[in-house]
Amino acid sequence: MSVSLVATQISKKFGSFLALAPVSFELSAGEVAVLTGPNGSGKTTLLSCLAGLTRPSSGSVSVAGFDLYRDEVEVRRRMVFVPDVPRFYLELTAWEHLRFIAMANQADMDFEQRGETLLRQLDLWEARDLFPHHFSRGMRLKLGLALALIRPFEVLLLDEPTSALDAESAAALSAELQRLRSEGAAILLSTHDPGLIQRLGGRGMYIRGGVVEAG
Amino acid sequence: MRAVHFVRSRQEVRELAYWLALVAYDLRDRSLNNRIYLLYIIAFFAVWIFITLTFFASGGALLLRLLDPLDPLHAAVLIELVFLSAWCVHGFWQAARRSPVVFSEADEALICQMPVERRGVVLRWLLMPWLKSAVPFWLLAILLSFSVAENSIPGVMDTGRLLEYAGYGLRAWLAVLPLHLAFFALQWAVGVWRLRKDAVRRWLVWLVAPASLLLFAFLLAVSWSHSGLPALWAGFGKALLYPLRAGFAAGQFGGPLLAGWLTALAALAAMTALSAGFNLSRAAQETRVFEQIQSAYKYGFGSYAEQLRIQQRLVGRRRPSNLPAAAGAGILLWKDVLQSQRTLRLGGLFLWARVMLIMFVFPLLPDPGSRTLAVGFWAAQVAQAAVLRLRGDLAHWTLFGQLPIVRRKLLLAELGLPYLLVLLVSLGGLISGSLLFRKPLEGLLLLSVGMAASAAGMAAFDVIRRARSDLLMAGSAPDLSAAGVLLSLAAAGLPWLVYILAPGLLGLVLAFLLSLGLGALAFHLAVRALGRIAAD
Repeated sequence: MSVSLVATQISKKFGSFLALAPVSFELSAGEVAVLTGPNGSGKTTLLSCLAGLTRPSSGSVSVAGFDLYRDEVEVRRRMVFVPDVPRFYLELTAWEHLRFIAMANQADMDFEQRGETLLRQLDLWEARDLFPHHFSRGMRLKLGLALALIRPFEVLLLDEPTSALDAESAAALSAELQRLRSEGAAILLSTHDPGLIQRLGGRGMYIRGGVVEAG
Repeated sequence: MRAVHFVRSRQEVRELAYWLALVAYDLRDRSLNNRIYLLYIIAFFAVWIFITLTFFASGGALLLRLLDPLDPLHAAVLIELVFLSAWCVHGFWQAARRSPVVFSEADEALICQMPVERRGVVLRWLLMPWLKSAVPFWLLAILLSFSVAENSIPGVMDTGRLLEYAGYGLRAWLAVLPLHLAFFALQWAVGVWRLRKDAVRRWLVWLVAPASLLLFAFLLAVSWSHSGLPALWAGFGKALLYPLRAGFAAGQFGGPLLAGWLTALAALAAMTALSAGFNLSRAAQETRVFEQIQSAYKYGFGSYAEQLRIQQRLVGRRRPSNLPAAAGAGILLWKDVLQSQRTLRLGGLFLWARVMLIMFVFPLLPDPGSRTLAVGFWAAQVAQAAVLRLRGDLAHWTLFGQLPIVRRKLLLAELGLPYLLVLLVSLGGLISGSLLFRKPLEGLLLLSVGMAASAAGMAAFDVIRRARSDLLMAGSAPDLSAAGVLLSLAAAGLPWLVYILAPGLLGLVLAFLLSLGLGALAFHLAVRALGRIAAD
């Protein structure tokens, strides 16, 4: 199986505080890794470093052989990150957000049809013409997922994707993640949800005090 | 009601502390030195305001004579009335749409859900907003009365006549005080009537707004000496304006003052009577976000306040926009246009109006010094305008930072639209100013192309270089800093200085090339900074 994501000795310091101790790991295509650990242990820091939204203090990240900082655009085409609290433009409706992301990623082929299918799957179709600032936290999280799934990717990073979802939506999400995995996507997600860990299986990674203990 | 008094008095003290903090006075410090400092502040500002008003009064006197050479007093009444009318019409319109009694989130929980006496709450809430609203009208009245005094007191003004001069101010203030209070109480009466008991009288807006518009149009017509109104109507209007006019005139003042206060008391009584059934919960629901916006502006959180304002404005369903969109970096333009279209409001146009106005009056400026100042002011406005959308996008870092678009294209799409708009508005102002004032077209016409790019690029560089990924992920993008404004001024000002020092075609060409070079450099710096944004 080909390697999708390679993290080599990445670490992150905020001033003198070591938020993430050097860690190396690989994630193959079709593999799921579940990152767990107490609050403040460095899960979000690790994910945002991998996503290139925060630059690590040391180490490198590559996706499908492309270096995150040398071939940034190639990596961005292949990797997507869904934060635990997605932020949306105040002036755009849910549907317009979907269109914006699809077109920015040159994924506008059959957009209308794919967008409708996706929003129906996530139970957001009826809310497509509303502004996300009027959404509940769960709906915002679902829209964040929709924005990730509307575009092609090889690596999917998710930060606590079920933290605000009801049981039904969480089950639907894990089914969707299984489908993506079977299609060859490499998935790394952080969660506190034992149900999701059980349903997804996959490799477990535990992080405490910025140190990844098992990988 | 004791709990209501307690909560409200705390709010009043906090408000007072806020204003006193602006002059470095700490309410909590009870030392003698601090008390003496307070006395000093009061004396200083009393004298300062008096001197400032007397300074402006000489100009005011000129204006009054210009408006009505035969009767400057009449012009003073008219000016005060124009401002009162504009404020009243707006106030009645607002009161008929949203509760004028504003409650915070804490008030909603502490007071509005409790079985407190409605009348007491409304009366207790009146003082602070009334004072804040009244002060500008008091100052205007005193300024106008000083202007009247400048026209009325014969001979040269000296310190011996200061009391006489101050007497004019006191009289006008005493006349305006009850009138403003009466109008304010009436606005609140409309507001509390609208939310009386369980009903929301939305139709009031269609009654009150036109009625107030008509009333003040009538009063202005009466006040305008050549209105040509029938005698009966003119007499009625003049009776209404009697207290105000007496405030600016010499002579007997007891009657008008009494009439003014009776009007104020009647308005307060109406408000108090209506407020017995005032629905506090509904008022809190209507005003909670408004109060948050006001507080955010007051304490310097402008971006947050703007965010709340947009959230409040954009509600309900919107059909997907039909704006044409291009894939890739072009979609940013689509988004920018859509965002601007949905958040367009008059306040937002002031920045663009300033850019245009500076360029419009530029051909009139006589010397290089004043022109350089104007160019500096223009560059500062351009810098502000250029980064508005960029800051918004940086604040959505988890979306914006993941776009698979080359940085150069990304920044070009971000700055392109504001740059073109700035250029269009600036050139429009400059060309129309030149044509209107019949002055030759300036070298600035050519230079502004590169100067605007330099100012915009440097402003973008400043915002991006100060951005921190952890704050961006939390939705907070930095403002344009003072250093950023200085950088923009320097980048835009350098070509201008070259043009001033070497006038003529050669100087113009040199300055133009320099401005383009600086623009390119600023853009390059901004692109590089964007690449380092995640490396804080």
